Amino acid sequence: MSKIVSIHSFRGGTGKSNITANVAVTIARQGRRVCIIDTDIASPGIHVLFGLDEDKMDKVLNDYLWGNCAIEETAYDVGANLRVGESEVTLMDGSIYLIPSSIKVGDIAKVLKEGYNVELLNDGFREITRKLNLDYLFIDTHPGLNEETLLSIAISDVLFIILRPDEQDYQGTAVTVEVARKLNVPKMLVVVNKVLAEFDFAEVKRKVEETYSCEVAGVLLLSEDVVRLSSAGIFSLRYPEHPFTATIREIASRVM
Amino acid sequence: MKFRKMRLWSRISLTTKIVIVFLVLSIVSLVVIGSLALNEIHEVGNYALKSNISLGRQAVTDSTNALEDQAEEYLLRLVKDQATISNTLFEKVEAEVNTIAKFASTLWSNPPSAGYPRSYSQEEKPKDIYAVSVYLLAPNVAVEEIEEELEISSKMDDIFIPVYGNDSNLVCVGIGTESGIYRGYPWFSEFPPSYDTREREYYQKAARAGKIGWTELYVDAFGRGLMTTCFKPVHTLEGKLVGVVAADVTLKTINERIINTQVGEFGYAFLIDDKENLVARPGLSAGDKKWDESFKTENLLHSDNRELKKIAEDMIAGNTGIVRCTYEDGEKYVTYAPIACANWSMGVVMPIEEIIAPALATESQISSITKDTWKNIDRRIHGVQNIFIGIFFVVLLVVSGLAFLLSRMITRPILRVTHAAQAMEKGELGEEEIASLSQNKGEDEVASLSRVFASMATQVKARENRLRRRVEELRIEIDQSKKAKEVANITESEYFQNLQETAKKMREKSKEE
Repeated sequence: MSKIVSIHSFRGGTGKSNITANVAVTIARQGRRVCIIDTDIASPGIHVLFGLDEDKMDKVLNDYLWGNCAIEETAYDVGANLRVGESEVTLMDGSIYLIPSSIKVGDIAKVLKEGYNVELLNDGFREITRKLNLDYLFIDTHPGLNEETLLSIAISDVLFIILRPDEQDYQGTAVTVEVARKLNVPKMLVVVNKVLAEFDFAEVKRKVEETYSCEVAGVLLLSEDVVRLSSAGIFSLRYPEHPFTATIREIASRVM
Repeated sequence: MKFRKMRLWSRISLTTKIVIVFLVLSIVSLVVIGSLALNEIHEVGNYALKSNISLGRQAVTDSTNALEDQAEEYLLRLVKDQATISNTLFEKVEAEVNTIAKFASTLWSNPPSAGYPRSYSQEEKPKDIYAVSVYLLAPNVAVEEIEEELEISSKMDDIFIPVYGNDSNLVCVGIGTESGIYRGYPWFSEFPPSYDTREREYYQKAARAGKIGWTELYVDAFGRGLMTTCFKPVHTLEGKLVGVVAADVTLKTINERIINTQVGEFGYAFLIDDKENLVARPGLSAGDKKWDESFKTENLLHSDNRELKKIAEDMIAGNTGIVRCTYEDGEKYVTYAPIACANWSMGVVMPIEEIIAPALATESQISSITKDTWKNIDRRIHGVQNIFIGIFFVVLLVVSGLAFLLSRMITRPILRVTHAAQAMEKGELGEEEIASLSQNKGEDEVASLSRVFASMATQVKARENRLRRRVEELRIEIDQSKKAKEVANITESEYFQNLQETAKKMREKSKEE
């Protein structure tokens, strides 16, 4: 039974894409068939993490939304690219696909101006799930609450709301949580990212859970190592023993 | 009790502890060394003194013994010589008396028919008293009875004159007859009217003894002082007692001749006669005793001194000897040798003190030098002692001062760390203090401690800051009304309402699939 997992945050810069990539890879390495779809059309970025650059990208999500191709044409198997140093990473029976958005400025402007058919997007989700025989479809949404994000949330089986321990995030997250509840999302989980090491993580978890009346799947460490790697690769592959990676695994386990 | 001591020790500051340790070490060292040294010095001083004293004593003993030995030798020789000389004199007198007696015996046995000089009684003074003898008749003796004998006796001048002239020791010579005649030479006129020569000691002794002998000391009837008389009975060839020949020797002669022997400064010589009367002691004279009063001289037999008595007995026995005798006024040597003729004995007394005077002088000198030496040593020892005590206190002061400075040097960095720790505990540890500790460039344990402490303090401070921030930060404030408004904004929109429916449918749809 395939699941749709949405990764959402009220504001940008919460580390959503990074978390999405890491959690997806983690799950894929456990033998699942995973696909990430980058619906953050306004500022796409997740393809960088997989080392998928412009030259390799032919058809992207934009093309499907404009009806230029089938959804499966936009999916790229990024599992083969996964490397840690010189050695290849085996995914056992799992696989990981990425449907990127266009990074062409013109395309982005066009989409922003003209919008797109949300229902079509939704159909696309189902289509690709079927076509690739996916276990999990990760929707890397763009920040904020609008029609597209609301739709993603509405159709998700699992919703991750990412926030940073930052005043700017708190208010927005409260609204998101409330709205998502009203949409009857089956499983809603909060992830607190970029938490300074000196914080008592258990305390943070408790406080956040208390504030939003919502389970916290993980409290992720703001690590210099993560910052240093940034978008150069998949952190959890490079640093399998890192506390950050451990939390990613916890989060992944909440999905499965 | 032990805990209290430990608590007391732990309450003393580090600086003080170091000073105390230094002081204790110094004091202990000084005291040990000082006592050892002083002890040695004392020992040396005592040894020197003892040596000195024993040396002195040895010297004195040796010299005393030497002097005494020498003195004994000398005194014995002296007394023997003097005895011999005396004896010689007495022998001479005896020989003379023998001659006179022989002459008298021959004369009475065969009186010559003529050639008798005229006889002078004491009332008839001759021109020359040395030319003739004097005669004296005992009371109640009539001239007529003894006329013949008197004449005979005048012939005695023939022997009297040469004999008397030959011996200056003789005071007079004479003969007393049984018939009561006394003829004496030189002519003399002081005879008392009651004089009967036959009653005199010499006569009676001679008559008893029947041989030559000597009388005790007696006071001369005629005021010539102390005398002694040598006597011999005269017999005719048939053995009839004629009378007694006598020769008088005064004490003065004996004194002059014999006794004024100088024996050291305090030594003296003496004679004792056969009755143990002390004779011829320097200064001894008849005094104003009259001749017919018995003269009490010191009689050694009656002496209280037992030792003297023994000596006296030995002397009478005719022995030679030398004895150490304890008198009232000290120990004295008494040497003696017999004067065989008169059965008298010669003695010499010498205070031992005088003999060993030089040794004693030496002893007292040595003793005084020893005392001086000891005083000197003692003074020096006290000097050294005082120096030691002075040094002790000076060193103590210096050590205290140095120890204090040194300990300051050591404890200053430690105290800086301690202060920083205390400040940190109170939360008052400033950045400058930490900086000054971390700048400690030294290489010893304390410097390393300072740097480590600084770094640790920095970390602690940082963590504290973060802790403080943490407590503050995690306050999530949700403006509920604002949130509600925004939620309503979204959920009340038409799109949302539709979405809810759509979502439901899509869920059902996927469930089917």
